[in-house]
Amino acid sequence: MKKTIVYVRRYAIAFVVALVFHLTLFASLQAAIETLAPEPDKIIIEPKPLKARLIRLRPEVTVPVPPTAVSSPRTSRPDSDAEKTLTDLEDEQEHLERLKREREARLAELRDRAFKDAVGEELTAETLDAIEDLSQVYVTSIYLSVVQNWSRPPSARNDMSAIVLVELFPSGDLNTAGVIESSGDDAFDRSALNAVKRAAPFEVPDDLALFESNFRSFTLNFNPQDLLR
Amino acid sequence: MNEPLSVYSLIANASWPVLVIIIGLMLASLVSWTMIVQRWLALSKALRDLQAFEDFFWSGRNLRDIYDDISKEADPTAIESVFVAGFSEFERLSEQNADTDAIMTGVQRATRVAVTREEINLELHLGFLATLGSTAPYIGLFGTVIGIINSFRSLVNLSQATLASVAPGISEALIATAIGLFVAIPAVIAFNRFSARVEVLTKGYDSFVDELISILFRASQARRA
Repeated sequence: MKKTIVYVRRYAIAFVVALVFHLTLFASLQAAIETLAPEPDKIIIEPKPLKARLIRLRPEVTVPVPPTAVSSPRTSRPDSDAEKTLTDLEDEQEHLERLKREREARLAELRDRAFKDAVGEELTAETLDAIEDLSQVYVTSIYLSVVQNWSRPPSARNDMSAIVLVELFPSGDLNTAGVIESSGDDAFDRSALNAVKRAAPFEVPDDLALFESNFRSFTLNFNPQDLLR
Repeated sequence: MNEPLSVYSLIANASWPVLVIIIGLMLASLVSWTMIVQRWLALSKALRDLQAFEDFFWSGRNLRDIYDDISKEADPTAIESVFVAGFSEFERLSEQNADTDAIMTGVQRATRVAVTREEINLELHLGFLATLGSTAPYIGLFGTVIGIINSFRSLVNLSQATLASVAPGISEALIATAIGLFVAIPAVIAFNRFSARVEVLTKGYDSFVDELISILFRASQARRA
């Protein structure tokens, strides 16, 4: 009992001093942090992570799809395969390239024949079909390369859509790209523009007439349809 | 996360392992500061006592008078108890008519025991401060690592990890390291400072003991002659 009293006497002052020191320190730290805190007008928006991989592009060149190999459900209805993987896309591109070579050969042959028949004469129905087929190949190829290069921002939502006007040079290089109809979200618009810039140069038909009619300038509709929210 | 950053909210929002470590460190800090203040007071008092006693001792008075004065005190200081131990041993052996060498050996032994006992008293809690100073940063770091592990684990379900989703967790976790350092730094400083002061005091006691023994040796020789 006496020993306890001795201990209390020995440590009481020290303990009180330590306690006061800690409380003062805590209070001053709190005050310091409050005065140094950033302005409250800084609103931090928590990004909502998304799992999505697909865009739907609506090119200006809406060619009626002829019943050929190109118009397989994959290429003609791109928004159906939401789970399309990168390898699938690459396979598809290979396939498309093969088709394109075949079609170009066919077109050249037809053009030669038409040229021989009569210069300036209207193109036959057969030739027109071939041209439409061919431009569809290019449209799909442009679509795929843009899809591959589009990384959507976390702020992307299903109901957003941005329309980008793309102008190309005959070489397929990008001339200009601009948002003509904003989605309302800056990050989303930027991501769409970036996708176009990264996808360039595009594959365009060597045929100048075809290029001028469909690929000199066209619009792309960026629209994440398959997002979770 | 729009609320202003406050120490309290950072601590209160931490996960429980981190919280346990933070509370443990805060208690350790309180104990450590209690020890620091107590040691500081005790060592300053010991230094003052040593100087006061030396002034008193060399004031030219008779050793026996000094001894009588001091032994009346209820609570002798460290240096006083060293003196009392040495002088009472001298008295006891002199009365038994022991020879000078035996007296000196006895006095030396008695004073050494007294000095060692006082040293133990002076070094009280210094070991605690040293341990705390070296381990508190690790404890804090441990808390931080646990906090960071938790904050990264919560990212598993997110496909896109952004700074904003990791930063709050890490900021919470780092508080533990900050507190660990806050505990360790004063403890290390105090330990070094107090160790040096104990050294000074021990040297003072030792030199006093040497002087006392030479005085008693001369007295013993004179008595014999």
